[in-house]
Amino acid sequence: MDLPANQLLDLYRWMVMERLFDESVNSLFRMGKIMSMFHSALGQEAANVGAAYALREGDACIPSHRGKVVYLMRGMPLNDLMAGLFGKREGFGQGRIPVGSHMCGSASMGLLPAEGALGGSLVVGVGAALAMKLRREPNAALIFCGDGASNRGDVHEGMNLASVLKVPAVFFFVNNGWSLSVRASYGLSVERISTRAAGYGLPGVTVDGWRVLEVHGAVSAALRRAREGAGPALVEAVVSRWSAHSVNDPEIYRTDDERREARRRDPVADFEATLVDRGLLSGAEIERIRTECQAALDAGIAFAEGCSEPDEKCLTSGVYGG
Amino acid sequence: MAKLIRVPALGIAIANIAINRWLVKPGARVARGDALLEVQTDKIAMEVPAEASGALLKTFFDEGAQMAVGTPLGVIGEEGEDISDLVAAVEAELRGAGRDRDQAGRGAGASAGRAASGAPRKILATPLARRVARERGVDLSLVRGSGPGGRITEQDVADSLEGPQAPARSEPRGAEAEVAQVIPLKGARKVIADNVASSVRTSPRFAIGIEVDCGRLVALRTRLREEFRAAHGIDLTYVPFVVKAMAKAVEQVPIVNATARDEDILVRKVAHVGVAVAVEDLIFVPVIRHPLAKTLRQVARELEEHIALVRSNRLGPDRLAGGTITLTNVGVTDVDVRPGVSIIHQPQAAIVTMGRVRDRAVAVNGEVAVRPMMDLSFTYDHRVVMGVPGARYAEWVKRYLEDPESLTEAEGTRAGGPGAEEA
Amino acid sequence: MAELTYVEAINQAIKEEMRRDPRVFLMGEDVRFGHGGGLFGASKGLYEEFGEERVIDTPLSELAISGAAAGAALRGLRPIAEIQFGDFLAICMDQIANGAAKFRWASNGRDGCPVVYRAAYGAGVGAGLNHSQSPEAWFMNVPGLTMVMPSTPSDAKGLLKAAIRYDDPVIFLEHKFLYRRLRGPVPEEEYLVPIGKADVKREGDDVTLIATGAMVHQALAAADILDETKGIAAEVVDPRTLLPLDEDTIVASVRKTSKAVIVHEAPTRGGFGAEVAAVLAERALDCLDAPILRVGAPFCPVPANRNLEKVHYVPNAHRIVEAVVALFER
Repeated sequence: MDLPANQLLDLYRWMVMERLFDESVNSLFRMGKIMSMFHSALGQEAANVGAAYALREGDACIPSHRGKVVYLMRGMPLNDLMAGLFGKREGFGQGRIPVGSHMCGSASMGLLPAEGALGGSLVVGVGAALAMKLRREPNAALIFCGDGASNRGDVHEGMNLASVLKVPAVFFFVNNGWSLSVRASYGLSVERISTRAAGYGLPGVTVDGWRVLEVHGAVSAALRRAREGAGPALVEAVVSRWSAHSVNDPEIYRTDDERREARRRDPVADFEATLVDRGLLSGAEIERIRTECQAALDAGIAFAEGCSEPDEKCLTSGVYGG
Repeated sequence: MAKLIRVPALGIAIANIAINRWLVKPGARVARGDALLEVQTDKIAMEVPAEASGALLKTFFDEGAQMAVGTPLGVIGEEGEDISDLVAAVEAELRGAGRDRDQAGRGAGASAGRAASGAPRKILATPLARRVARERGVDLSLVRGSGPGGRITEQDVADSLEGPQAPARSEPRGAEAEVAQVIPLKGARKVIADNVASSVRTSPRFAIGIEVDCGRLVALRTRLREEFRAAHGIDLTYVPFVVKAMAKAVEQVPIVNATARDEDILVRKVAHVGVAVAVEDLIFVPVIRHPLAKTLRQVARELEEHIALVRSNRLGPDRLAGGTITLTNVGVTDVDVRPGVSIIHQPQAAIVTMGRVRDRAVAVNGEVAVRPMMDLSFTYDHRVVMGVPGARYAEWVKRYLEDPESLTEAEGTRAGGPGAEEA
Repeated sequence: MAELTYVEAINQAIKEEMRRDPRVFLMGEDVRFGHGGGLFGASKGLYEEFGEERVIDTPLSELAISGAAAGAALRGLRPIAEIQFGDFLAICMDQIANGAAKFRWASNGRDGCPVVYRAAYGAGVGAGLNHSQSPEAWFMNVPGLTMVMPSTPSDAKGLLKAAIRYDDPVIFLEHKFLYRRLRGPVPEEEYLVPIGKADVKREGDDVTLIATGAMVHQALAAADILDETKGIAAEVVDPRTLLPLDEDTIVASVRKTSKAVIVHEAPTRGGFGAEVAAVLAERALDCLDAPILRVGAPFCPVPANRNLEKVHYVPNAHRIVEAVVALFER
């Protein structure tokens, strides 16, 4: 553990926020409030936060459809994000896009829009990395991808192109074992996605996706190398998907035992325990952080409830520039 | 403040849900975020959290009820709050939704009924033609369309503003259930159809009948027939005699040789007699010009030529033009010619129908005799020809036919031959 | 005025814009060398002048080319992505229609995606069913996309320069048959042809021929035949930009002539002509003195046999003349 204490606590706070945000949106979705798709990130807090925490100013990120905290970590105000999830005019996206799911780009926040067919965004990230290289920018692109999406043609073309052009891209595969109802052990032609990296002449590594420091260490290193001009790399973080694919998924393909097994490890609780052991967190602080996060969420929800519905002009403007 | 809870949108494929069970008793308090009820989508049972805190003041549906996303479920508010207006509005909404569902089923039947009763008559015209017609005050039903399918084009509308109005189109009848054949209304068939329809619309008609004693006509014809065949290769029928009789009778009653126009009646001096020729089930009316200036033989020959040209589809428009009165012969058939209304060949004012010469028992000088008789029918445009002149004309035609030698005296010696001036 | 071939005009446009703006770069298969600057010579001399960072050969990966170009555009560059054959735009459909075309709208109009997707399209060279299509109908109703189809060297140069400077994604369709076979005058001075503006290539009063790409030349030939043999004066309107369509120019022409025939190389069913016909029916109905006709390829793929292709597939001046004559039949 070579991160300073404040950064460790940062990581923890973001993970708590990711957890609470997810539970909140889950409930809001079932109230019919969310004008977006919702795919739970429960259990993937370490993978999301550990990777995103390695981004620097000027880097670009294509987030996963699972997990909302990356947007906050990139600087999006929580109210904007929540109002955007509600599809409100004043929120991020103005009611046009499925916030937190796909197409959520913002040049100023270093977010690249991902189009809705999972895996299609990887090549866009490669293009952004190409631009960074051509413009001599000291930056890199972090591209989230899942194990299911890793089979897409674009993904392979993107990795090949990134490798031959030696662009500063890091391909971050969160392997949670499932592509909706299809197991990774069935759909992936390899045991570990990282072994595919060699097929493109790239370095590839698999880390324990439950452990935020491991994830962070591997992604940081890869991003640093990329920024320094060493070319792209692949990092795979292995977890188990806690939830069903979505709120509507009856999960007929998984047994109760498997579900229990998936939830056996809790990355937030694990990291919490680690920090408590190290004396960096007390019970009171845990409570305080939790309360503050929840309060921010509640304030965001209240803000979103009070926002207005987008109108026809919000719909048809901005299709073309100027 | 009471909050109306509706069935939330629970996913992109979810249109309907069923209520499994309410998780809060009516009247009990619930906090926002607490589970309010459990619903069943087609995939999974799901808890719906309360979106407001308060007491569950009203539920609109019970366990087992099925409904669409957006349907009102219940009301959360404060105990004792008056929500009667809200409830009434919801109940009205739910009643209206039920009505809409019933009416959706009936709507389809109504429009089918309308279609079956037959669409109104339509005129085929290009949009541009319609606009120009509208702007120039032209009645499209009076414009003849020259485009494909008889479509009226802008040029047709423009033409109609200069010349006489052509017959209007009617919509072809819808096919009957047991259709033997569908004959396209095109070309000559179409022109005929248009013409007869328009003629009937144009001319108010009356008819007069007269019977002609053909004793002397039969004898004369018999005598001339062999000569004509041997010397000229012509088959002499009664038609040339009637043609000449008609033309000669016009000199006595010229009003039948006229045309009604908007402001006046144009009476022509010289009769040019059109004689209808049937081919298949079409009719053409080539014209014998100046029959009085021609010999019987010339008239007979011209008639034969016309028949040959029509039958071989080589009749040119020049032969069809310029008729002033028309004869139609049904004598090739067995039908009786009774005084009946026929279709006038516009823009003429009279048409004569002749039939077969047949033996008939008639009274001659108080005794019954069998005489060869021919019936003639005269149909007139009543705007031009009144009853008395119409009858007079018929009498003159009869007189000439009963004195047929008078029709042959003008063999080549008549003043005013072809090219004689006319009105 | 210089006399250039269609492909030389395109080459000049790219060269001039790359000199003018360092953000412009070219990426695609075989762009550095190919058969002499790409497969058809469009990128001739560019690698020599601008080097490996401005002229980038890619592996055979249409998805990566189209998607990475969009990503680079989002990040501030102005890429020209060459898709070797218009038919392969079908591969890129996801990245172009689902991605690049929608990025600006998804950001409330803020972050555009200024990429030009150039593709060689069209039949008549015996390239067969997967290398000869006219793909414009596939993209006609994608909001956020712009589609350009020049018919002459001067239009090609001016429109490509305009497209490269355009702040939204443009699909730029170049007819492969015209590349070396069509020569034409091209202004020597700096000029642009505006996107979204049609061009009346020939004036006439009796019938409007709306023609695209290589069909513009067939329409002009048809107009000559109609004039000489039938005394019919045809007006030829070249939309140049297919999406968004310059409706006003087309409607004004049909208002004048009262008859319209739309000519394009793609099969008529569900094609570009269908959109034009609908626009005319909506906006010029009272001016129409005859049905709106479309002349296009039959509803089948492009055949490999060159004679079959030439005689029975690609629309030509005689088929256009036939259609026009039918409009005038009485």
